[in-house]
Amino acid sequence: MATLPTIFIESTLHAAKGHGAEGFTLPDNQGLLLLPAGLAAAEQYRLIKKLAAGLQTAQSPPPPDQPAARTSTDAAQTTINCQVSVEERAQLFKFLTG
Amino acid sequence: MSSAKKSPPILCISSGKGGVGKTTFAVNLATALAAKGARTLLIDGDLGLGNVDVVLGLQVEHTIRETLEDGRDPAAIMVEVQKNLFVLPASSGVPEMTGLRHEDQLLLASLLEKIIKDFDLVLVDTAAGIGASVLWFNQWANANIIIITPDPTSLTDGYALMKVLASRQGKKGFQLVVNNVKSKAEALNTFTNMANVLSQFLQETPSYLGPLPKDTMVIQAIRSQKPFLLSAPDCPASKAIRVIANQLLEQAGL
Repeated sequence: MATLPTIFIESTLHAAKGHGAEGFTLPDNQGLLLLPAGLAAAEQYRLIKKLAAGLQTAQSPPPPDQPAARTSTDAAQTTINCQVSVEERAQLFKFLTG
Repeated sequence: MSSAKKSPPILCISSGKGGVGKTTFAVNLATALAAKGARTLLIDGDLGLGNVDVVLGLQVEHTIRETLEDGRDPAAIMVEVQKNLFVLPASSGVPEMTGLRHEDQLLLASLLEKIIKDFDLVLVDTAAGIGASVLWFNQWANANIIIITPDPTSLTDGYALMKVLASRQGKKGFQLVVNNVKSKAEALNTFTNMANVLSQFLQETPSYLGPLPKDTMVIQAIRSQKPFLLSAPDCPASKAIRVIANQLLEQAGL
């Protein structure tokens, strides 16, 4: 559960109402979002994604030259160096000249 | 052949380097599989620069982009190309689609899982490179087919892709196709060398799906926006595709 500035909670809940959802402010800068029962899964996902995008912008806008969202998988992947070495290349091309 | 009710095999076709014949191979392989009675779905995984519809001469109105952005049911955007062959087309000229974000990966997986159960086999034609969508589709798939040619750039990029998939995603059992070769010997030589390098540096043992010969009928078919399997069914490339299709059907137990 995210703890956010009150003004952001209020604006998010207001935006949610525009999509047929209900929002309630809670103590300690928290909010409760209720989605309509008949809302299709894809539609629910779209709405949450839209709100999450706003949330990210409100908290800390990413630098323009970096991806807006990095997953834990992405982060783990960056730790493994997969650059093709000179030795690997030499072996790859060996049969072309041999 | 009856429609499967559990998830079918998902075969991801990638190359690292662009322009090595990946989409042409994917389209013709899908055509061959469908002709043999396997209900086949070909997903255009080049989400920002899709070409499957171009190679097949299709006029598509909706693409995977609408599925991700508007929640459109992917079953509604599928195009039936011929008996047993369906295509899920991608958008073209949409750079935002190339970096498949984590939330889009989750949505795409959940939507695709629903529709693929109606098929015997699923093929994914990915973009070139090692971008997010390429890695995700390869991760999602059960089998990874890598297209290489005897050119040094193709060898380097194909190897780099397999290195990333093996090192970061734990992928194994790559299946190689050697395209654009003058002879079976050249193809086998190219495969053997690649296999040796994979074994030496990645402790990986790939399998050989077969060669695809240089064939003027392939160029003609691309320009006429038809699978060469249909426009020139007896050309060497068509024969080679059918051999590969038979192997894959056998692997899938179909």
